[in-house]
Amino acid sequence: MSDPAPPAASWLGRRDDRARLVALVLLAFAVASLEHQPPVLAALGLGLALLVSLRLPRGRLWSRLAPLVALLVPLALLTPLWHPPGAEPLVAGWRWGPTDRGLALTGLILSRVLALALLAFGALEAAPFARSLAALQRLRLPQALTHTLLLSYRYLTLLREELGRTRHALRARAFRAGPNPRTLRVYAGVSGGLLLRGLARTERCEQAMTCRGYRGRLALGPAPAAGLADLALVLVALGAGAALVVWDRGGWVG
Amino acid sequence: MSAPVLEARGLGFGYPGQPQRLALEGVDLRLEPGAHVGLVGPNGAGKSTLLRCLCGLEPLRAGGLWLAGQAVEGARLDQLHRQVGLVFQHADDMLFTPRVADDVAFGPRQLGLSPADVDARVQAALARVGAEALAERVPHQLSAGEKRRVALAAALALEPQVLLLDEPTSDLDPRGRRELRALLRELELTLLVASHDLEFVLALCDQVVVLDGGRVVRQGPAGEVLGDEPLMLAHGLERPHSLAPHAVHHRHDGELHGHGHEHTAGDL
Repeated sequence: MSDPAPPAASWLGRRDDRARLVALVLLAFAVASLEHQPPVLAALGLGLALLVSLRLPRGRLWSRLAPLVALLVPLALLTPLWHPPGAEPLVAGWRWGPTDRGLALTGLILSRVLALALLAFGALEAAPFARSLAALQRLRLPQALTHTLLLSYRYLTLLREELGRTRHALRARAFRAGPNPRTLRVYAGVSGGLLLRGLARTERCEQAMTCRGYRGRLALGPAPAAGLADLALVLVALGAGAALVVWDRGGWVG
Repeated sequence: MSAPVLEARGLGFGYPGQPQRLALEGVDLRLEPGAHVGLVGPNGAGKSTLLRCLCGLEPLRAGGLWLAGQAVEGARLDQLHRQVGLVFQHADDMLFTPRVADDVAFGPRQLGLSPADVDARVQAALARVGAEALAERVPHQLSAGEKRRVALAAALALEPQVLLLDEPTSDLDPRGRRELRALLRELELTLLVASHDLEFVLALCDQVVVLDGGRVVRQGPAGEVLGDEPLMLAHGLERPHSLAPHAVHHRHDGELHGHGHEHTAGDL
């Protein structure tokens, strides 16, 4: 997990965190409902413009998007083969090959997912993760969810470090992974050990929090007052989302 | 004699599911204001358990706690964290937010302080441990020594009267140990330090309590208790090297100076 550097200097990072998240949710709902390529491409352009305006590091963008891209590869390969009634093969005579409608659907899905990912990346990376979590709690998201997110964020790093140490320990004892039952047994043991150590760590962490006054609720202090600029951000997001939906559903698309 | 800042009388504790076996039994302990007390004993003696009991994390099976002469029970037990801070053996257990300043602010925020007061406490606590420059850093990217300082600041931000430290030197190099010792001395707090690092305990503490099998087997002046070799050996410990008859010359300004040795106790 990478370092959540404080990007508060960006224009979005200076806005109220609740407004930032509400704006993201409004836009995300709108983009997810789009069914035609032109408005989806416009949303993709909006996401790119957001990232450019925030000047976020490209390396971090790629590290966040890479897993998503990996997940999309099978979809990008298989969806063009979709053969709904009336679909025309792109290559004449190749009955099971890609079709025009399959390709269009692939483009629509990929650009919509990427647009959502870019908007979410921009909105979430504009401020430290802890601020976003605090804003979620202030927006009345269930505490169980926000606490789990906060602690998972921290402890995934520790689990990854422990996994790294365990891997070194295995290699130091001449373990080499291979396609055999022994490897599976070792991996099962390592997974179980990590879970048990994770449980023990969770208990210690809870005690450390209890020592500092935690009784089931994270204290956030008074919420910062939202200003006109924050309201404007929400309204702009609402307007942009509505415009995209109207474009998608209305007479602009033939 | 002034009232002890924290006192345990006849303290007993057993883990759930083990009704016959007590992890702590009949533990009496007095922490005088400003005292630095070492808690030593073999593995499994109950040192960490005792620390958790003293700050109200574990339900007592017998005995009780007194804070500044007043019994701690009911609601006061729930508020014990305001007076008694605990620094865990593994600093990572205490650091769970993505930013150091947020970790240090966690306790004050739980107290319901205003943002200005929280900020003031965070600044003060970080300054006390010399970690102001770490405020914006990510906890998991700190060195072991830095994590230790931040964990200490996180406990100090609650402005406790008593600070309990569980194996504070377990992951520190000699320089880190020296710095920690100097830092703890400057805090002017009542300290209870559970440690296997007997040289560290000797250099920091005036009094030592030896715990074995969940019972206090000896307490007294640090040099006297830790220098008792039969006692140390009987309880799985070793007399600190700097207390060997040929090594110790005198104690001056809290440092041990040895004949024939170039190091001091704290360097070990």
